[in-house]
Amino acid sequence: MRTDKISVKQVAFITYIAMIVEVFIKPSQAVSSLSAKSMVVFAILDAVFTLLICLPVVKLLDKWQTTTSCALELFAAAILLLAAVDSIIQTEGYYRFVSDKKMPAVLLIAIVLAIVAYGATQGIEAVARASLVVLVIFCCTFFLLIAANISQFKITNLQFEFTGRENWAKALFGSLSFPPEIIIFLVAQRVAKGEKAKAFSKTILTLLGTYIVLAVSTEMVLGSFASLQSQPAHTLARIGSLSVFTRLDAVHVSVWLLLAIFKITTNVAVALTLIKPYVPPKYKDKLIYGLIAALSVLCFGCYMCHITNMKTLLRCATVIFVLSIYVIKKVRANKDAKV
Amino acid sequence: MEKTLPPNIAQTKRSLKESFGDSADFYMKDITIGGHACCICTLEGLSSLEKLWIMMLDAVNDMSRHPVTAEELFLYIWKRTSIPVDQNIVTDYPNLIKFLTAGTSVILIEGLTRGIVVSTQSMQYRSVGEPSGEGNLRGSREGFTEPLRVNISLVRRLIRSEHLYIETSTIGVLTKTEVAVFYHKDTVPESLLKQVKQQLSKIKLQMLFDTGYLAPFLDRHPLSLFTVGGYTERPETVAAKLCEGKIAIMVNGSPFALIVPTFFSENFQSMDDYSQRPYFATFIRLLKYAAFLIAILLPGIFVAIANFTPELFPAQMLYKVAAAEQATPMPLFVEALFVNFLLEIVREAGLRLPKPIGHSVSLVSALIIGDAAIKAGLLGTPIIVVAALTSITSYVIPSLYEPIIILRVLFILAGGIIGPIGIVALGLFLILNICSIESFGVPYTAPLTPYNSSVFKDGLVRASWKKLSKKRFTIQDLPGAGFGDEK
Repeated sequence: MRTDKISVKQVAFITYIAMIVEVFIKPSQAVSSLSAKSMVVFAILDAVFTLLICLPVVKLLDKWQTTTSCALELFAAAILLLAAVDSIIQTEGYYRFVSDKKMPAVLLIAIVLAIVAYGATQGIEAVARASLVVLVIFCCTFFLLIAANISQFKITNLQFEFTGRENWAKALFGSLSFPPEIIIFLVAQRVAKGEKAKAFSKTILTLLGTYIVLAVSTEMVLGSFASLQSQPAHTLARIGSLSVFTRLDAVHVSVWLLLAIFKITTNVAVALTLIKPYVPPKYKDKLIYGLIAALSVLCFGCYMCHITNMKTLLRCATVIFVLSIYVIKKVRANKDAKV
Repeated sequence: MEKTLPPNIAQTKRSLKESFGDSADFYMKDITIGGHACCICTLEGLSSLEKLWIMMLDAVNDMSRHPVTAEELFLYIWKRTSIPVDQNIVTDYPNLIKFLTAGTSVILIEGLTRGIVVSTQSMQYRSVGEPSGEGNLRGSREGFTEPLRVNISLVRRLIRSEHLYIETSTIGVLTKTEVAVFYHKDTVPESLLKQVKQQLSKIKLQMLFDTGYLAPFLDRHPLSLFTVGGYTERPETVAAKLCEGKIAIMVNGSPFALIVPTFFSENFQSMDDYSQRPYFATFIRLLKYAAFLIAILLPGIFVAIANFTPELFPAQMLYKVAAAEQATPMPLFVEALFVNFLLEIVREAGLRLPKPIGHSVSLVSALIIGDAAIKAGLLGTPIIVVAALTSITSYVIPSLYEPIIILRVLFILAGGIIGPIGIVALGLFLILNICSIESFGVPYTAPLTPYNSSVFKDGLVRASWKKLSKKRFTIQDLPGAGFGDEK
């Protein structure tokens, strides 16, 4: 990884893109039947919780500028690769949901993995540079989505009471709390220049802002039907129209799929940089093939076993990873202080 | 063959005879100047015999006293005559050949191991005219021509500074072509210059006739569709790039300068941008970006929608597309490929044939493809319209013509075989490909990404000259610029 060619802004961009995908492409068993107000409150709680746990770690890593440990790095890579598998399965499910013509899952997974393999071999710098292009495209379509629906906003549709109490616990651990993509920031920021804690806070807050805008917009357009939608953003895109442009959903879906593949690429690219130092030199160039083969096996395994959502497992693993860094760094700091 | 010139002219003449053989243009004449045996050698066509003899007569007429020794004669011609002698003196055989092939004449004097080089060049070449490939509304109408020396003078005339350095060398085992490296000492990054010179010195070509031969040796991304070197025929473009800290390379015999490093955003800029009002220049630049996207994406998206999600078409258009597809024997995807290949064949034929026949080819192909093929029901009207539109848009950015054509075909294949997800996947591949390229240590996508405020000064947007003139811009100001440490 080149240390002088990646800025903390770019790291924030790739992290934001990796996290925002799930707001638009919902996992198949995502929490529903909650009002926008409940979702917003839980999202805020989740964001605060994430910041409280992660910010000290970001600051610690900033001070040390060093890697944590071999086991932890490989653990982080494993989480990212599993998250990539989860995202591939999710993307395949989403494409099946939005597409009329069914495409064999094998073909779709193969296409995604081919792009991921290419992107990951180009390195984190290329991915970081591409992030701005992807982000600009996403922002344009997001504003288009809101603009296309603004004529249908009804403030009376907003529910002001907390509904769906039975799903509160699920919502609290399911909206924005500890996505495994936090690891992308923690790993990539080591080689980036700039104020890292500030960038991380901004990333989480922007993510929260996007989430709130989407949740409120969906409810203002769909009313109580919003909580019944499995893919609310897609419904919003399908309904929205701007002048003579009535089928903007095609644009939105394409962009969200682009984001999803980009996220998977980022996960694998970062995992690659984590694993590479521990691989013998002669195998370094071939490592990507190994990773792609492993991802293919895992994807088809999950597909055959109908494992469609590993979010809870990944979130727990991320919390363990972040806390482990914190503990290790603190112990080392204490040792250094004694010496 | 001896390397240094012998004192005996006859021996040198024999060597020259051996080298040039019975070449029709090789001219050698024995003369006596001031009582000393001399020999004049030159190549007709490259050098003017008339000019040479006028000079010689002038020198002999003015001779008040006959030089006693050969050395005295040498010094007399060298210093006291009005003959425009070259500063260089030939002392060895390879240099003698070099000067003769450069169009100069050489005077050899019996008893001396060196010869006098006389500037009598008189080559026939295309005059300086308007560049054929880079039209401008305003600004200079001059374009480079083939002789390197003329091109050097054109650039020198625009940058009247002692800091404009032009270094020449020869490349090509058989052709010994002169290559010039232009740079501005004040603005060029040292490591970039070193890197370019190093790469050039490593080139082992048998022949060299164009700057395009050198580009692959300077490019570290041979498999990428985009190249890190840009071409121009305009001296003022070279001058502007040199002032930004870039390096221009020119080859004798080619009117194209190769500029390194070149960035993606520069393909959408032209010299006219700087003469027009900023708002209009910005509009044109954005229009070019849109044209680029239309040129590569439109047929692919059209085929993907028609084949996989036809409900996205407006009702009227859907009926027309469906009717056209029903009436033609080939599927839409094959039609799109066929029409695009046909357009390229027509373009290629029009380009290579003599101009009068080229026009006929265009006319015949337009009639056959545009009219007869539709009437016969071989091709549908919608796909012809799409192909024509994309073909026109691809001419808006001539420097990206090659990648546009390849990408267009790839997008048609992706859209036709895989559908919308194919377009998305290939789109991401393209973004990653462009973003992974580094042009001599600077990201090819700079200043778009990594982002730099200069994108709103002279990138996507062209700011006013008042704003641009506040700070001198060089490529070292670009984000991520790390010269010399390219992967």
